[in-house]
Amino acid sequence: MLKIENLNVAYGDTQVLWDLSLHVKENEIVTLLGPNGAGKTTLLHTICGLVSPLSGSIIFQGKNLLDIKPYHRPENGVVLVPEGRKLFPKMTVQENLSIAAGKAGVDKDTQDWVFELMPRLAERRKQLCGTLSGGEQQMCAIGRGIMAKPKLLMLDEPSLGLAPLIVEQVFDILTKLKQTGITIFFVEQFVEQSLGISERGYLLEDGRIVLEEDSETMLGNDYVKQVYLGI
Amino acid sequence: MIVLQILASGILLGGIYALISVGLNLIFGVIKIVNMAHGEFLMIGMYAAYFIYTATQINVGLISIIIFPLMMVLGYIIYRLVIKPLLGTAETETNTILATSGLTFVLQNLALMLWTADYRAIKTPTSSQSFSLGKIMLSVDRTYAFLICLVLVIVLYYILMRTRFGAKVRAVSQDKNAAILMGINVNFIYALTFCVGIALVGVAGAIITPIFSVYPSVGVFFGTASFIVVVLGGLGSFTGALLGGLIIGLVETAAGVLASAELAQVFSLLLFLLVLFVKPQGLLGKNARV
Ligand SMILES: Nc1ncnc2c1ncn2[C@@H]1O[C@H](COP(=O)(O)OP(=O)(O)OP(=O)(O)O)[C@@H](O)[C@H]1O
Ligand SMILES: [Mg+2]
Repeated sequence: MLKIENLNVAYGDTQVLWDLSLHVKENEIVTLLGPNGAGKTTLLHTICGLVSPLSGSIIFQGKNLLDIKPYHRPENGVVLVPEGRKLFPKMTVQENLSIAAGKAGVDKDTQDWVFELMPRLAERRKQLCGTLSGGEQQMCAIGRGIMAKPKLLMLDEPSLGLAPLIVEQVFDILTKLKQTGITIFFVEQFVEQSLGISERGYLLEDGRIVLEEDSETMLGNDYVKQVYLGI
Repeated sequence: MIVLQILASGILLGGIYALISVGLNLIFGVIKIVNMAHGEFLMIGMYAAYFIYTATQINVGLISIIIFPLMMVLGYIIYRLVIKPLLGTAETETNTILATSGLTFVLQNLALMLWTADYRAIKTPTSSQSFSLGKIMLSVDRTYAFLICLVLVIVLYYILMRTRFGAKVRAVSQDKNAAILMGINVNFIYALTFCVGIALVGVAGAIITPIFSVYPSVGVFFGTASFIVVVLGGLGSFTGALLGGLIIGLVETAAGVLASAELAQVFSLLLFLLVLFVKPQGLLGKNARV
C-alpha cells in the first residue's frame, strides 16, 4: 500500500534520513521505533509533504505521493495525527473534527463512530481544544484523523505524555481502527505495547533503518531487548 | 449630557477606526506578516472614492461595493509581486516589513506624481449636516460611515465564525502545518486573506472620504492609528481590532472635547503606552477566539 524507496531528507545542510526504504501492506499495523532525534517525525512529515525529500520515491496505492500537493494528500487517504496533537486550540472539539472532514463535508456516520469510540469527545463537543486535558486532546487528535476518512492513518507518538491507562485506551482504539480496514503506521516509544498490537516493526537509528522484523521476532531481538526494553 | 455626546461620537469614530485596522490584524493574524503599507492602501481607497464620486455623484455605500473587488485585485497583484516571493524565506518577518515599507514610499510617490500634493475633499449633500438623537447631535456622514463599518464587521465575524471557509482561515492562523495536514490549501487562504484585508482597508478609505480630505501622505496618519489600535486590542485578533478601535475612538473624542483637538492623539498614544506597559500582549492578548 505504501512503498518508500531510497529516501534522503535534509534540513538545509544536515541530512536526517539516509537511503531509507520501507513498506506498509494493506490493513497492517506497522510500528516505527527509534530514539529521540532518529528522524521518525521527519519521515512522517515527508510522507505528508510538510518536508520535501532530496531524492527517493514514496508510492501510495500506485500513485507517487511526491507528485501530489501536500494538502491533497489527506483526500487521497494519507492522514497524519501529528506529534504533540497540533489541535487548533481556539476552536471547539466539534470544529476541529469538522474541519478535517474535507470537501465532502462532515459524514454523519463517521462522526457518530468517532463519538462511539471516544464518548468523552461527545461530552466535550463545545469545549475549546486548548482547554482539554492531555488525554482528551489526544483523543480529539485521533478523532480528527478519523474524520478525514484515512486509508493509511499515521500517528506520531500518540501516547506521548499520557497516563498508562489512557495509553491503553489509545492502543485499543488503534486495534479497532484496523478492524474497520484502516491501515496504521505509527511511531512509538512504548516498545512492548506498540509491537503488541503490530504485525511488523522498523527500527530507525540516526536516519537509517537498522532493523525490520515481524513484531514477535523484534521483541525477541537481543539488541532491542537490551537497548529499548532494558532487559 | 456631554458624557452621552462623547460616548456616541466616540463610538462612531471607534467603529471607523476598527474597520480601518481590522484588515491589518487579519493579515497579521493569518499570514504572520506586518503590512507596513496598510495606510497607503487606505489612501488608494480614498482616492478611488474621490474620483468615482466626482465623476458619478453616487452614494458612498455604493462606491464601497465597487471599490471592494477593485482593491481585492490590487491586493492580489501586490501579494503575487511583493509578498508571496518572501514567504517561506529564512527571514520572512523582517523581509516583509522591509518590502512593505518600501511599498509605502512607492505608493505615496506614485500618488504624488499622479494626483499632486493637493488636499481633495468631496462634498456630499449631507456634508456638515447633523441630526439629533434626543439631546445628542450626530454627523450624518459619520453615522452613515459607522453603519457601513458595522455591517462589514458583522458579515466578517459571521464568515469567520460560522462558515467552513472561516474555519479554515482560523485554522491556518492557529497552526499552519496542522492546517495542511487537514487538507487546507494554505497558499490559497493566504492570498485570499491578503486580498480581503486590503479590500477592507480600501473600503474604509472610501467611506471616510466624505469626512477627511485625501492627499498622498494621508495613509501615514491612519496607518499609525491602525498600528496603535491593533497593538492595543491584541495583535492578530479580529475582535482585538474592534475593541482597540472603539477605545481609541472614545479616547480621542473625549480628549478632543475635554482638552483640545490637537491633544487628542497625544492621549491615545499615552493610553497605548500604558497598555503596552501593563499588558504588552494587548487587551485581548491570546484569549480571543478570532
Ligand atoms: N525543522 C527542522 N529544522 C532543522 N532540523 C530539524 C528540523 N526538524 C528536525 N530536525 C532535526 O532532525 C533530526 C531528526 O528529528 P525528528 O524530529 O525527525 O526526530 P524524531 O525521531 O521524531 O525524535 P523524537 O523522538 O524526539 O520526536 C534531529 O536531529 C532534529 O534536530
Ligand atoms: Mg518526533
